[in-house]
Amino acid sequence: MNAIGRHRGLARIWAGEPGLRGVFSAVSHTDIGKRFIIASAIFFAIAGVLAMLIRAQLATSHSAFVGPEAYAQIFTMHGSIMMFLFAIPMLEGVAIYLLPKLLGSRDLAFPRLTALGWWCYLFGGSIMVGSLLVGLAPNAGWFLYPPLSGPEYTPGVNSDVWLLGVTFVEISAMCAAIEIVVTILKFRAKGMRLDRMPIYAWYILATAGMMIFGFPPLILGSILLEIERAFGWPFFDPELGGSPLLWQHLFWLFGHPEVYIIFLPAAGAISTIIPVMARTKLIGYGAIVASVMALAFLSFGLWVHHMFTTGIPHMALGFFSAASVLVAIPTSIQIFAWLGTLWAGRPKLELPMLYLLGFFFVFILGGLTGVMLAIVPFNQQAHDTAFVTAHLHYVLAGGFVFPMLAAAYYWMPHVTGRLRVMRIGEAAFWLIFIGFNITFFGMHLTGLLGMPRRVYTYPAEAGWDWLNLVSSIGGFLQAFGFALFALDIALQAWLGRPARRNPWGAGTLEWTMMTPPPAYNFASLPEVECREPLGARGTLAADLARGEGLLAAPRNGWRETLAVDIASGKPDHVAILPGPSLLPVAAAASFGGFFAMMLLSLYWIAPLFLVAVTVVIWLWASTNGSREPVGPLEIGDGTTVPSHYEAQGTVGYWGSVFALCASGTLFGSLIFGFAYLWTVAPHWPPQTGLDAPLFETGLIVAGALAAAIFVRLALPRTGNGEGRLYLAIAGMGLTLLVLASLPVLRLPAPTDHAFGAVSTTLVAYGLFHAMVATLILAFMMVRKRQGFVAHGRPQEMRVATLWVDYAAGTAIVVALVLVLAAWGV
Amino acid sequence: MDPAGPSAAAIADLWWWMLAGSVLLSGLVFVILFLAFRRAGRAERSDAPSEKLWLGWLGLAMPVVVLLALLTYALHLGGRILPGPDAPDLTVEVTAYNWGWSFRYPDGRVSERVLHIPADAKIDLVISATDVIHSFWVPRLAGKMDAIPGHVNELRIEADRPGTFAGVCAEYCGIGHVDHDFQVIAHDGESWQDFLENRE
Amino acid sequence: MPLLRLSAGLTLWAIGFCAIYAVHGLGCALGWPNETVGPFELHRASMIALWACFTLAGIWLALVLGRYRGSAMDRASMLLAWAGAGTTLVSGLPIVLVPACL
Ligand SMILES: [Cu+2]
Repeated sequence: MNAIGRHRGLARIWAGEPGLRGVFSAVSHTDIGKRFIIASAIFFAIAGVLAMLIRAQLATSHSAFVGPEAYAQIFTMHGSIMMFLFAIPMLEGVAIYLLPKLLGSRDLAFPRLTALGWWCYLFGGSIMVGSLLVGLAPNAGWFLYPPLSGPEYTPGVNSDVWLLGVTFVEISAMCAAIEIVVTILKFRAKGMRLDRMPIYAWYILATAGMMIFGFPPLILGSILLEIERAFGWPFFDPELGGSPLLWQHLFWLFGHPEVYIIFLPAAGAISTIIPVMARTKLIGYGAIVASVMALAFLSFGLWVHHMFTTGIPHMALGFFSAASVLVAIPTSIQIFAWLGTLWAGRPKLELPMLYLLGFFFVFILGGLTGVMLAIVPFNQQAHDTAFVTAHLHYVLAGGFVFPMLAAAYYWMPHVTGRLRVMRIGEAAFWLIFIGFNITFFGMHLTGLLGMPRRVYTYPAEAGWDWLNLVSSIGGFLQAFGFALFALDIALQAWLGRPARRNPWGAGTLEWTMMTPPPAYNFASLPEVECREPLGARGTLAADLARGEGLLAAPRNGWRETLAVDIASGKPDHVAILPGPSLLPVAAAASFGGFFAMMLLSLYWIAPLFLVAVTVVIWLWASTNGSREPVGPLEIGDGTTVPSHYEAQGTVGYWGSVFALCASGTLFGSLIFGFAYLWTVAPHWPPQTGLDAPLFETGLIVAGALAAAIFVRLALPRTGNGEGRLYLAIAGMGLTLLVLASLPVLRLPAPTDHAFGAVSTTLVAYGLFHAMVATLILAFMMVRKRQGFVAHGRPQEMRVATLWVDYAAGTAIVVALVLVLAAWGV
Repeated sequence: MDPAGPSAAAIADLWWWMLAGSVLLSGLVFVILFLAFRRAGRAERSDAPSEKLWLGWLGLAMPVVVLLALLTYALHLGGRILPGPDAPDLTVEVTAYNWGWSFRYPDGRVSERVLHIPADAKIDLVISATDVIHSFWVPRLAGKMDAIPGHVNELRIEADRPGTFAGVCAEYCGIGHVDHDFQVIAHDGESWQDFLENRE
Repeated sequence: MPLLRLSAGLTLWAIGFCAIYAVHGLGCALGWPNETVGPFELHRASMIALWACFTLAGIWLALVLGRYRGSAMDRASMLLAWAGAGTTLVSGLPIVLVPACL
């Protein structure tokens, strides 16, 4: 088969569906990645317009441009959109677009999950922006502190929009995070050991890992606050044993890692682009990997530095202050690695490099003010002033926007296959750079002069007028710069001359494919022996197109890509990926229906949409698997490996592992919340106690253990084990029923005191997982009958076992926590 | 930044030190960048850049030294400006609400939006709120402290000269947030006596 | 599993950090600073004990991981273990520098 024939065959297999249906059924990572990037750019523009409104209002003292209520919505939405609808989706979009291409794979691990993430993001984002149009947008600041955001002080729908919209978007982020981690671990080129991964993959691996552990606390917080608002369970109400500080802990437990979640992918782009611009190799690969990992961990030990003024004992502040200071060290290692790389190479001032110089300038200043804010006494003075606003904009624009602008220029020839038209990009750079510094540098000063953030006006005698006016002028310069940038990118996409392949002379795999990239990425999959395969073998692109790599021959119309052993990169199995599907958009729409009903306070209709979600997921899972043995498959290097139907440690398995990690983090945060309220909140212990539910605990433990044991015995080795599966279902069903009886028969009312509220929530969490496990077991019964689960194809049962074990474990922990709590009260 | 109390003054000192350090460090980075591009055109390159120099010394050792010194000093300073262990000269209960401040003195008197204190004395404030979260901040006297419903926080302030100092609410608390301000009047000995004897 | 080795050092730090923070919070809530065990303040002594244990465990881990030598990953794992031990040491400094519950 020649290169053209191979291209035709693969293009047919990997093509999306035509027409309008294709818009909704697309699953290709290239398409969805671009959608994420474009949508987040649009949200950036919207939030940018809000920023302009803020600057217009603050340009002079006593301005009457907008009133306090509108201003509250504007600054809240500016922050929320930038964080949740711009920064995170943008980094996801770039990663979704790039990762398979950098790793030598044809798509991400779960193409339909990519699409689900996209639709959840689009729907959630639309709800939030829509609220702005009707004047009901969130208005309590982007970190939504209760009680201000609670039922009493924000009776309207404003906070619900935030809680539900952001949670909807977080579902999208969790989908992306799980997918990214599993893709990096499993879908790499043959021979790509972990230490041969492109450095960007390390950054994204760390980022996605952080998302898996960092987002659940916020999701939990949002759920709790929404329950408090909707049903009056007093988690954050100090009158009834709650504490507003619990929200702050949960929020910043997410919020600080979030900063690094945003910075790391951008740093990954920097580490990728700088060596290419300097025409050399990155120095200190191992040290950079270590510092990326260190950042990922340390950033979880900083959250309290957003709470230095909440009256936490000084020693505890000291712990977090120390960690906040130390986190500067891995950052510094990376900065000097980049400087050393530039020093060692022959750097050329191409446009992406120009933007990276902007990054260096802005980010260094932001980092240094960050160290200042890590220092407790200074923080207590500067906290919640314009100084903090200036600092966070230096960090986020420096650490994310400038690198992303550089990345846009660097990868545009890849996305469009075109070169830029005129030198508009340089003009845009200077406008953005100068405008940015004019806007925010002065705000350090206004902050130190005592101007708090989030004020819609200030008195003339404060003497902040000229600084604010200068800031506003800078803001408009900047806006003009971003508009020029958008124009430049659009011109490049429409009018640019075709670029030759690999215009920058890079060494990584994404430049071995045609540009714009074909739907299948690689005509045949590369084998790699070093970190820069293209740099080591200049003919790699042509060789792959000729079919000299793996999985070169289209087979059975399957979308095939290679899955490897996690550590060594040895071929492990062939993954056959699903094609276009309407299930993701159906699932997202069902979720959307649920969130919309919650928003409209139609609490009795909302659960119906969860039933719809369940049905869609059931259908979704039904499309997987194979009824027949597939047997070993040739991969093209003379060896055979099994298909994913008959392999172990498939992406489905790992996906479940990480999904459960995320859920476990949420569970852990809930238990932390329980302990926290118990020790810190006023009005504890509660008036109404709890008799230790010992009998129920016995039943729960028995049922859970039975389920965990019998699901193992039902693994298809011999016989079909249907009887054992029934016993597993019975065990899990018993656990489920007993858990369900607890709130009715035993627990104090959830509306009277936070004790009842938290313990009921704990039980509800256990109940949720028990229901999921029961459904999965029922699904396994069907799959066994249909022949999808059989000897040689036990994979689905292994995944089911994971979920059953987890449900069993949490049910037992929930019961034990209740017993302990009962004794403690 | 015109500190009028020991706590604010110590913080201002700290700020000038940190500013100087930051200027030096960022200057170092910008000079390296500039030189890297300048020498790009000409110099002979030695092929292996020294990881030990760039990562070990510049990337790791330098910040470790600087940051540890800063951290130890700051922890020490932070401990010093805490309330206690020495007893305060006066304790005032501060209650923030939408949108006002009330100050209750040991003799049971209450003042609204104006906090009277003697100058040159250690004052402990016991701060709470009745509705949403606010934050007590008198920039020229000390750092801020949140007023949180259901929790009680303490802050020590001291004015080293008589005068009137502006205070604001630093935590967004709703549409009245902007005007949620107050004044601290530090009295000299005589007028403080007047205040105590209710001759205001 | 190289990823686990890579994470080991800082996971240990994270556990130690949480443990010390928890003991600190519980101690302040339950009024431990007023209780003594022999010549020691119970609260501070228990935090110092935890701090020392986790620092020593971190050093031990770094020495163990230092024995693997081969790939860049092994070196990075060792570096990270030292980073974990160092971070444990530094982030515990407030225990001896600052009053406990003020
Ligand atoms: Cu206020």
